[in-house]
Amino acid sequence: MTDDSNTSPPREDPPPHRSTVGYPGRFADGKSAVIQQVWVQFGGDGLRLMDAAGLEQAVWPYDDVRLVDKPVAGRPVRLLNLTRDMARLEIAGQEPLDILRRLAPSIEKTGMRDPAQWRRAAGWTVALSLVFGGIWWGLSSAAPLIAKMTPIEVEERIGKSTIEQVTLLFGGFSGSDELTCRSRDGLRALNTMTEHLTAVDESPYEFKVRVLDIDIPNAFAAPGGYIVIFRGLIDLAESPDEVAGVLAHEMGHVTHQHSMTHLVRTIGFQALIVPLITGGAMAADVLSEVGQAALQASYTREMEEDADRVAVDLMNLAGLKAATFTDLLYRIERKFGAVQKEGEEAAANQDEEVADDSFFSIPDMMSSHPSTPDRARMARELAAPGGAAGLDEAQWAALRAICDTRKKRN
Amino acid sequence: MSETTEDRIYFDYDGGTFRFAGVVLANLILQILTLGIFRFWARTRERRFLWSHVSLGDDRLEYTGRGLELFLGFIIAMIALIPVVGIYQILLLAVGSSIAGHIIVNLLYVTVLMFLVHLAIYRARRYRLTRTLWRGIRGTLTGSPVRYALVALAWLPAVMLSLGLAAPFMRIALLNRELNNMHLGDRPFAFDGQARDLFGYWLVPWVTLLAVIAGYAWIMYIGFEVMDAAGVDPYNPDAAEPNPETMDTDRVITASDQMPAAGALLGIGGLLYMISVAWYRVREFRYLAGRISFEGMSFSSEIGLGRVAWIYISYIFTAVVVGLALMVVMMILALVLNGVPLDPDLVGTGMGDILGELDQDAQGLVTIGFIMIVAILLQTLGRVMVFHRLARAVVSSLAITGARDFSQVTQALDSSPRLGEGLADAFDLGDF
Repeated sequence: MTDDSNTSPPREDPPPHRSTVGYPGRFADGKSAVIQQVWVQFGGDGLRLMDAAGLEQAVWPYDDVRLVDKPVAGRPVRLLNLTRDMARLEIAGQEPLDILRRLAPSIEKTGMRDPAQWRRAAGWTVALSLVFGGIWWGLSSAAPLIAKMTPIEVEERIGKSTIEQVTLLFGGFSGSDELTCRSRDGLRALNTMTEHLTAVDESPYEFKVRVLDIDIPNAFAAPGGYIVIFRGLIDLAESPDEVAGVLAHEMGHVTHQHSMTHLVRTIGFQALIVPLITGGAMAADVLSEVGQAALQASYTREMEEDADRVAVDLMNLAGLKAATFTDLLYRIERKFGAVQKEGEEAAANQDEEVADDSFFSIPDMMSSHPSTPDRARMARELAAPGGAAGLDEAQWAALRAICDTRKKRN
Repeated sequence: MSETTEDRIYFDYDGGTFRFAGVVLANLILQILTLGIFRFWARTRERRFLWSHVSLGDDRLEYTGRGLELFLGFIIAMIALIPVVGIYQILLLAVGSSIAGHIIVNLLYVTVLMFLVHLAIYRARRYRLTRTLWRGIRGTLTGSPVRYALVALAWLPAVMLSLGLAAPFMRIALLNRELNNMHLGDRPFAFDGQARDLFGYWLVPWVTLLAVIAGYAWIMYIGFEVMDAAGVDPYNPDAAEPNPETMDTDRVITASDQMPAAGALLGIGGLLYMISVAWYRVREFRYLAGRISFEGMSFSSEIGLGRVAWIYISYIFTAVVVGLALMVVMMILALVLNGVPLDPDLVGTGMGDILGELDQDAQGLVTIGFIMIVAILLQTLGRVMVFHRLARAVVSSLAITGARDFSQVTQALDSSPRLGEGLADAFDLGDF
């Protein structure tokens, strides 16, 4: 559109003129920093900017004129022309502003100066929603694939470093690995238990199981076949098959590469989406978060169910008693559920089945697991009848005492 | 057509305090409601306000940037950062528990981050300049952001190894690149600052800080030595009875004086350091402004330490008064809500006791609501009382001397970035 074009419809009432010269204005043409003193006339087709010699410099069609900022009393109004990019016109006084408001009601429109920008903004919004949805979906579906494509050696590397970090974390960063339990007979018993399961396991992983001297009933699997059982779990177990059940469950996580999948997804999520929402100086925060998140693996319900299924399969194949491996879970829930409630109330609930939705402050392993009754039902359905305990009395005693050397030494 | 006036003309800032507070307050609330995503638009609204109140002669600045540009720039920057973060994580895992490996990887990572930060600074300046309009002419920033970042990387080791002593050299080197590439339209600004001119000023806060640290270390060392001599475990003075045989009573008293002495030194020294930093920054700004020129006009600033100090002192005072007033309001509110009669025994027992009467959920809501209101108010107060007043002081201290001839200034060819500050926002550098 050129200055001479006249696309706006002719106005019905001819605008009042204070004089034939018009109102004084200051015009910056957007090409030079020189301010031109002009006379602004309200023409039928738009604002006419006349120079001192009476020559027409430009015509701004009313529909294209906008206020640059909200008018402030006693200050000249600044106007722009949608089709003239950086050209600006200043007019002083209330009278011309009132006339302009009447002739060009659209001057008040703020925000998007160009109607096409609305479409562009809407397009961007849709595109971004798609991008974020895509990131979310892509991460979820790509994570298992990336985990699958990761060579076992890399997984082992990551797993090893995860275990080291956890040991450091719980060991108060003493630098040495004092937490790993090393009683000779205990390790033998642990080995026997692990071999029962690995003998029937067909996954490509070599399982590296260790017990850490930490008083929390928990266990977790790191990528590459690393499995850690906390002593608190063994303390709470009443028979070796219960520990074997947990071990088999963690082996299930390893076989299905849950830990690796989770790591990939967490890193992706943290790096992509969290910063957008939190804002601020996040780039650095994100990094530390990513490291921590890797440790705080919490799996999805489906993952836990998969691991349970593997656990029961392995126990069946190894001839171990699979039907009651959930008893340990009940015991953990009772113990920690009771902590939440107080006094008599807890005592009253002691023998009842713990409700599905009760709140437990049990770390990681339990947090996103399917409800215990569901798991028990599944175990009972799939478990082969009978089954051995897996360890004899002496071996079981040794396993329970696996951390004792360390205590004696201290 | 050119205006030629020989005398000095000052920049002017005429933004109203309460109107600015309104902008800040609305922005904060909208940011909370949108979980922070509104911040790109908030920043744009604030800049629009600030720019439109800065004028030189009859002509005001105008900010033409848009929130959407900042938002998209940020998204793109975040996506670009992913490989960096990813590679860092992979390298960390690859080196395992090797301490040397960790040091090398982290050093590498910090280097890359520093490079990106300075890249971001330059790009953000460019964005801001191209969105700044005066007399219908847009600012521009030529030059390569990569070169700028490399200059920064070259100076950083020297600055760190000299414990900050070399900072003015880095500052001037960077400003040289930035200010000499700054344009209004197609005409460049010129900057000829010298690091050696700033160095003397810089020594003042640097020596002050060093003296405070040295004094603190000395007091602590003496204290430890004395306690050690007296047979007291310096880490746990109450643990065991000192041996009366070896105990030197006079010296133990000295040791117990150590903490107050160290505290006093830190308090007074800290205050002195803050004043020396403020003094340096005032001197620096005046020096830098005086070294900038444009089209034969020279800039200058006469900002004084007194005005800057008053801004901070009055803010601290106001913040304390407002904070106390809010606490009183909260206590009265809690009592009224509870219908608990004002009980002198309750005074000083803290918010928890008063709120204890409310049920848990209501208590949580009231507490969270109150904390949010306090946070919003204090942040607004800080923005209005410190940032806004500093902006006013700085802008109105700036002057131009020389024949004001802008007839040669024409619009630069379009080279403005389409999207906003991205990386700078990712690193939280976009202060205003």
